Amino acid sequence: MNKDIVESSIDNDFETFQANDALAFSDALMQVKRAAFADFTTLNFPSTKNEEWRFTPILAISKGALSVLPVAISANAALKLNAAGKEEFGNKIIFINGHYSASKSNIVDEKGIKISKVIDSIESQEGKFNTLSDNHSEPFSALNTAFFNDGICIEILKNASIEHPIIIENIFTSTANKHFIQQRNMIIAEAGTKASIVFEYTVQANATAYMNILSECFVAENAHIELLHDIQPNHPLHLINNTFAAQKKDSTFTCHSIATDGTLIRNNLSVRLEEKNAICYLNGLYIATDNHLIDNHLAVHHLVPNCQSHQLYKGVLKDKSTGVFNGKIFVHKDAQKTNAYQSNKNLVLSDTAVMHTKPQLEIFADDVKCSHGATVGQLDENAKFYLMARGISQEHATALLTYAFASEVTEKISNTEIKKRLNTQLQTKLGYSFEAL
Amino acid sequence: MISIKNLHAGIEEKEILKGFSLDIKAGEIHAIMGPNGTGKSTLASTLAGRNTYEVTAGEVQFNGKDLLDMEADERAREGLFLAFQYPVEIPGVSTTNFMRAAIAEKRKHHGLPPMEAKEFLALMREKMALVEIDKQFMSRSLNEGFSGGEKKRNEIFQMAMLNPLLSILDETDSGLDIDALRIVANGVNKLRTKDNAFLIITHYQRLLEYIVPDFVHVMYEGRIVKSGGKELALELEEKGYDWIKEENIVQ
Repeated sequence: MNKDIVESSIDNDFETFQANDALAFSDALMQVKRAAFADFTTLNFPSTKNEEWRFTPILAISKGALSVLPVAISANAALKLNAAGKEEFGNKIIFINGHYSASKSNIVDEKGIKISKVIDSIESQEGKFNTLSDNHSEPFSALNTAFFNDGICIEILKNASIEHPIIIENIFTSTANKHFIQQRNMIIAEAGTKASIVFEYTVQANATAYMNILSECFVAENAHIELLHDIQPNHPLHLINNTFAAQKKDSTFTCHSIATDGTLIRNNLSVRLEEKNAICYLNGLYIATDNHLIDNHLAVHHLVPNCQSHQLYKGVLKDKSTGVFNGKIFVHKDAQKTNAYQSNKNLVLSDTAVMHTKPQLEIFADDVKCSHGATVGQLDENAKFYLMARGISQEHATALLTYAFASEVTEKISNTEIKKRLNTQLQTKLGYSFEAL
Repeated sequence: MISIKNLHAGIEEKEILKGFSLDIKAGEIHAIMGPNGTGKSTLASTLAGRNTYEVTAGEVQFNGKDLLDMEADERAREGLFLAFQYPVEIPGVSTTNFMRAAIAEKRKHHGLPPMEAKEFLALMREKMALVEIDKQFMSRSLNEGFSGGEKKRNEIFQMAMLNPLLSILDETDSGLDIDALRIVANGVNKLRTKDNAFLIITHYQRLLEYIVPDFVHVMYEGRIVKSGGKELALELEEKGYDWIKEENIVQ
C-alpha cells in the first residue's frame, strides 16, 4: 500500500513539475525528462531484493514522503555563509538547498574555466549531456534526469591548468527538510587540462538533507582531473552520489570518495576507459559511526587495450554502522594489456558493526593483469601493545593506529591545502591530534 | 627499584614463569641468561604488561607501586621501558609523531606541561646522535622497512628519549652485527646513571662484553637457578647451558 502512495506522489510531482512554466525547459530536454520518468516508473525505488541494493535499505528516502520538487528559493537570500567554519580558499561554487547561487560563488582562476548553469549548456554540449548516465538500469539516474532543474557545468578550457581547486559546496538549511533534492552537473575537461574539483556538503543545525546528485565527467585526451567527494556534513545527510566519467587517450582521472559522516551515503561511481593509455585511480575512505550506512558501488569499464585502473578503498566501521563495498571491473574482449587492481581493507571496531565487501571481476580478454583483495579485521594487537608500551593510552593508541590506517587514502590527494584540511578533520574525528601535542 | 617476588605467569593454562624472584636497585645492571624456552621473553612481556600473559601468583613492586595493578601504558609512564625483541612495524605513524605522542602522555602523567617544539627537536637530535640514526628515519613510518639493526637502534633511541627508570632489553643483541652491537651497547652505557637500572635479557655472553653487568642470573624452567657476578657469564659461555640443566635435574 505504501508503495502506491509513493508512486502516486512521484506521479503527481512530475505532473506539477511539467506544468511549471517558470522552469522553462526546452522541448528537447523535456523529451529527455519524460523518457527518464518513464524509466523511473519502470524501475521504481530499489528494494533490498535488488542485488545492487541488497545491503542498503533506502526507506528513509523511498517511504519518507519526500518531495522531489525543487525547494522554494525565497528562503535562501538571507543565509549567512561560513556557518560551518570551513576555510575559504580556491574557486567556490555555492548551492543552497539545491539552487546555484551565483552571488555567493566566487571564481578566482577566471582564465581557463567556464562556469554555466547545466540547463543553459545542454544545447552546446549536445552529444555529452545524459550520455554517461544510465537511466535504463539505475533508478536514481533516471529520477535525477527526470527531476533535476539545477546544477553546474564546469568547462576546463583547452590546455588550462587550474591552480586552485574548484569547490562545489552544497549547503542545506532546515527549509530543505522533506525535499529530495535532484542536482545535475557536468564537468568537461578539454584536452591537456589539469584541475582539482571538490564536492562538499554542509548540513546546517536542525536540518536533515536528502540529495540525489549526478555528475557526468568528460576527460579529454591528456587531461588530468582529480575529483574529491568530501562528505562530512556534520548533520543528517542522505546522499545518493552518482558519478560517471569517460576518459580519452593518455588521460588520468583520480577520484577520492571520502565520507566520514552522514546517515546514508551511497556512492555510485562508474568509469569508462574509452581510449588507450587512460588511467584511473579510485580511492575511497569511509568512517561510519552510530547506525549510519556508507555504501560504495564502483564499476570500471576497460573498453580498449593498454589502460589501467587502481582502486584503493579503506573503511572504519564503529558502533552499529554498516559498510558496503562492491567493486566491479569489466575487461571487455578487446581490452588486452589491461592492468586492473582493486583493494578493499576494513577495520571493524565494534561487535555490532557490519561490513559487506564484494569484488566482482568480469574479464573477457586473455592478456590482462588483474588483481583484487579484500580484508575485514581489527587493529593489530601487537601494534597496539607496542604503542602502549611507550606510554600511549589504549584510547590514543587505537586512534593513532586508525588514523595511520585511514590516512593512506587521504595521503593520495595531490592538492596539499585540501589534504592538510582533511587530515586535520580526520584526526579530530578519531579523537587524536598531532598538532595539539 | 623493582622487587619481583614469586612471580607465576603463563599463557592459556600453560605456566611459564614458575616462581620468579629478583630485586634490582637503582644504579645496577642485571643480566638474565638461559637456554631457549625457559621464559626469558615471557618475563619481559609480563613485566611490560602484555595482556596475553596471565599472572597467576606473586607480586611486583616498582618504584613503590604495585606494577601488576597497572596497564602497560601506565607502567611505561611510570618509567618502565621494554626494548622489544621484535619491534613492530607501524605503517602511517612516523617515529617523530610516535615520540611526540609518547613524551606528551608521559609528561601529562607527571603533571608537566607539554614540551616546547624547539626543545623536543633538540632532544631528538641529541638522542639520534647517541645511537647514530640518520634524521631521515624520523619521518619514515615507524620501523617499516628498517633492517634488523636499524630497528634495534630505534629501540635504544626511544629508550633515550623517554629516559626510563628501568629498561628491560629483550634479546636486543639478537640479529645484530658487531658494529650495531657496539652502537647499542655504547648507547646503554652513556644512558646509565646512579638513578636508573637495566635488565638485560640475552642468550649469549657477547653483549656483556660491551655492557658490563653487576649481576648475572641464570634462568631455567621459569625461575632463577643461579646468580653471580659478571664472571658467571664467562663460565656459561665456556660450559654451555647443559651444565645448568644437569645440575637442576640432579637437584
